[in-house]
Amino acid sequence: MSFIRESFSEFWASNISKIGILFLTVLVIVSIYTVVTLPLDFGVRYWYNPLYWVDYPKTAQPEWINIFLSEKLMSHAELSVSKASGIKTYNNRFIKYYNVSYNHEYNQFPKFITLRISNLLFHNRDSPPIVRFYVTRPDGKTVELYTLAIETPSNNVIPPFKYFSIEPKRILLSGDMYLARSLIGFLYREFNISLGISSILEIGNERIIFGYISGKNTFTPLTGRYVFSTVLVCSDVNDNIGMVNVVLGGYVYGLMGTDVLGRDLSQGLLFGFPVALIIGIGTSLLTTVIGAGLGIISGYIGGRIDDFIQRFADTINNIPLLPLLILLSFIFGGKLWLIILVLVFFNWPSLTIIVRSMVLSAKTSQFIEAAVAIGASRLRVMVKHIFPQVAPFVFAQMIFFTPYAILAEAALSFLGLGDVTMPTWGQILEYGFKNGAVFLGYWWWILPPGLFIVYSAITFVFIALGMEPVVNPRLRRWK
Amino acid sequence: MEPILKLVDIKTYFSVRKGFFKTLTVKAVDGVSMTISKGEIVAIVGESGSGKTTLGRTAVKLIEPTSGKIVFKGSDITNIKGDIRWIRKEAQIIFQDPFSSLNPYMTIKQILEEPLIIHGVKDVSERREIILKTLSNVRLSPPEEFILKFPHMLSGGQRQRVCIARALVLNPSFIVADEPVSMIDASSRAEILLLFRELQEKYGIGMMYITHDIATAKYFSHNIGVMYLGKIVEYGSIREVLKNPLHPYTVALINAIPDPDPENRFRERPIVPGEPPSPINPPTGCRFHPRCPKIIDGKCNLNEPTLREVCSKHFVACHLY
Amino acid sequence: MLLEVSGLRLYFKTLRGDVKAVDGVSLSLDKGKTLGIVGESGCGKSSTANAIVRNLPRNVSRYEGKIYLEDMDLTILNEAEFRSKIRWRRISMVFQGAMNSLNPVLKVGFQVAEPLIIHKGLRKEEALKIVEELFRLVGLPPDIVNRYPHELSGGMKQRAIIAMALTLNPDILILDEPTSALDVSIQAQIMNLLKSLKRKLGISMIFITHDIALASDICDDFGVMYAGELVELGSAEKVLLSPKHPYTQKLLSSIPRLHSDKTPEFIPGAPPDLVAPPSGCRFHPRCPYVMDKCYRENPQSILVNGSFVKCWLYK
Repeated sequence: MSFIRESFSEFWASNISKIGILFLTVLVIVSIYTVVTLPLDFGVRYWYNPLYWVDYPKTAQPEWINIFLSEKLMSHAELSVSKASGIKTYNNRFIKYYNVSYNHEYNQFPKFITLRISNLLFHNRDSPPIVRFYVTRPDGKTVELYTLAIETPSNNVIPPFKYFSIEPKRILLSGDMYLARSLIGFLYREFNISLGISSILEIGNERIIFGYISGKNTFTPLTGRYVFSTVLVCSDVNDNIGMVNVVLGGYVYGLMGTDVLGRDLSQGLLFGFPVALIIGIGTSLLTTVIGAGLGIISGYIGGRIDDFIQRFADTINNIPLLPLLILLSFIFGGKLWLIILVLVFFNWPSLTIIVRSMVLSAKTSQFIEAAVAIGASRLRVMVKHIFPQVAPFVFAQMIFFTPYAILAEAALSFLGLGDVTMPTWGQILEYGFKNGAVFLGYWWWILPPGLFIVYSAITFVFIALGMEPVVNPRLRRWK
Repeated sequence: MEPILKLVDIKTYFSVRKGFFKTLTVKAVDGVSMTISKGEIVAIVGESGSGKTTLGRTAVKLIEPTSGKIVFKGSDITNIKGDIRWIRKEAQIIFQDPFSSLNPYMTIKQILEEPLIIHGVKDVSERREIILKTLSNVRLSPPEEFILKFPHMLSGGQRQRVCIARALVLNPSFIVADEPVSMIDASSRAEILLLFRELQEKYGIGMMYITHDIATAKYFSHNIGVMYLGKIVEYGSIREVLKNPLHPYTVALINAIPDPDPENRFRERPIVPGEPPSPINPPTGCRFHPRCPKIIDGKCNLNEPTLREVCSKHFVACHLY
Repeated sequence: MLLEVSGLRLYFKTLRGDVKAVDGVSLSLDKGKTLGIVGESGCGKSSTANAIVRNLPRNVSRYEGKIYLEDMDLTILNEAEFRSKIRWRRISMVFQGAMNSLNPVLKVGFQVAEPLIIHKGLRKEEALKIVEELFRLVGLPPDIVNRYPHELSGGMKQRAIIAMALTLNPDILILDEPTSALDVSIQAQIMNLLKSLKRKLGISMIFITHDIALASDICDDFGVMYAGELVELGSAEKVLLSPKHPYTQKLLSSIPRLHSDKTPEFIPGAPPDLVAPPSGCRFHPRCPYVMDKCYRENPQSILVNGSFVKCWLYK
């Protein structure tokens, strides 16, 4: 129809609409990317599963912050080695070395150190292997980090024995007593310093490993090349470690940093895109369809149906939204479908009332009378004759309503009423506030979700503004 | 000639709520009987408040009569319930305002197709053929160009022809034309009316032509009924009534029409004083008596005159006769 | 000669191009006389009237010509001068559909009195007194001043509008389709009123309508407009009884006559598009007497037997 073409060219004429469509395209593309790359149960499986994030740095800033800092913050480092770098024999024992090196150039200590080994394979039941961990510092000194004794396998398991294949063995060196004791000896041996175990633990194992004494009991980070060495003492030449990981907790991580649980915010924020779109568009679509539909029926058919729908709409308009929502969340638990349902249920009345009055005036047009005169059924008149009169307005309302829905959901999540199975921007904000991110200055946790909420709302506002010149002349008569 | 439409003592009243407790009754049509035969055009002439518009709509059952009987093509349709689509097929109505009686969002093709679709003409090419033929009947040529246009692209006269085409597309046997040319330029009215007349003669359609302009009725109708405040005050053949108007109101209407004669500007024409009263509280007795120059005191303000045949086929409701 | 208009042009800017609504119109009005301007809808008659009282929309692309009121050239006045000296004081207008644009929330008397309050600085009570007099003049009972528009019938509203146009005693009253929305009998009443005003006040009028029969009721002189041009201009007798321009002839024969038996003819075709009117004489596509010259050149307006005609049939 030519007037669709005309309206589109009107719409496209203003720059605001172009910006709006551009923003919308970005939203859609990012959402598609998210849906393709992240699994649907991302919320339950990963986001709300703290174990998954154990090796991630906590409250790390985004990596790109280093561009602006003169003194670079340490990047989170995960070192891995999966092949033996060397093998020696000694007393009919085999010694396999797994080495990985790391260049530390930062003026900070790692926040934590974690060792992980996976897929340990050995053959001799009576002599299980021993795993020892060492680190050689840039100043040549070596620290013994940890010794891992392997349990003898039980009698009903047949060789070859595979350990740590389902779940890797994780050793957190920070705060480890064994390492602390080892460090007492290290300090005395290498630096002639005598410190008790409580002092060591107070200073922190990482600081001692990665630092040198610069004053009384203060350590300064030691830059340079560190080599982490894993030694496997085994009785069979085919015994093997599948992979060794050394995790050095950093201060910066990823595109958007991490939160207090170490969750990669870029993933959480990414997931928020399609959710915002679905909530925004879904809610406004449902509200518009119900609101406009009831408005047309109410206005055109009139009589008792009209009275009934109007009184129903009035009643709903007067129910306070928030207390009811809190109650429902309490009963059913926060769920996405509940939020959408409630938003739709409380917002269709206002549209119905307006559409009804538009229909009442459209009803008096003579072409409506003409349609009845040629035998059109009531349904036909409503769909083919009345609806096109109110369609531009209804469509514009739908677009106007979308940012409201997005903001409403964000607000609800922020109040703690949101859906806890999937991360939304509102939820991320809520968790941040709850953990004092504002006071602690964790800007990367608070600003992005806020900005994204605003961005998605603005997208639809711009589109709606672009729709205005299309809607307005319709309200006047065609020339 | 077989009668297509027979109205027997039709009364159409409307209730108007004025305030919380008061309800007023508007007696728009207050006892009208008439017959329209196949191929006959009856002009209904009156001013605002005469009820002619309501009469037209009641005749095609767009408004339900409050009492009386409507017999359409032999069947009593007064109280008919259920599917009345066959009535909608046989009886059509053309409205006054060509600007608002066409849906501005539909093309001419869609507007003309709609009646066909509603009444079950399923074949697309058959519909197209009917539409093109009807458009050339109303002299909108070339039809293929017109079907793609929107109403706002056409002039008033062209739009009115589309309305006529819409009424004709179902081959009705009866059409009510409610002031079809009042909103068209005086110089174009004749064209539309002649077209109407031609088509009506060709297809033998019975017609009720509602107008306030007696001059056009002359060229267009066979019989004329003059309405005042819901009642017919004079009825007869058009020639007869114009040559020999009996009711004082008819006389006044005829006098009110200007003739393009330069002598007119020196004449103050005899007119009827006052305004047509409202149909809510019609005057007692003869409804015209407050404005009538020939009032018989004691009779006209007390008794309502009945419509009686005074000369052959010339009826009038007046105490003068 | 009270009013003389020459070469009046008014073009509007639209998306498709310039609408040449008034394209070189020249007419004159004598004191105490009534000039009728007739034509189909869209021929530019309303625009001519609006051009004279300078009631111009925002998209005017060309507005030129000379308008002399007695000896004063109105076109050299700026907007402020025109508003204070001419509009409503010397020339006033009854617009098309004016009776429907009365403010529904103000009393009729107050609305009619507004020109007096604004222009003459009268106090409300004094102005209302004058309005009561005016109402008597136009045949309205004086207590109407306290009514609201919705309480008045169509005929009464139109009389009130005419009264409003007469408040400052103008020399010229322009009426644009003053009776088009009224019942026939009310129409006759209003026409009688205008005739009586003409007699009693000696007011000069320009009467614009599409209905020649109606115009003949009151007009001394007749102008026929087609596609933005005046194709014939002369006295009522000359134009109505011996029309010269083919369009005038066709127009007259297209009117249904009550008192004659002739079937009305009609003019085939439709009025032209004012953005791109036909070349040469604008009526040539519909003219029964069209010649070669008519396609090429637009005829000048020449005096033939006391009327001005724009047609190549005449030399």
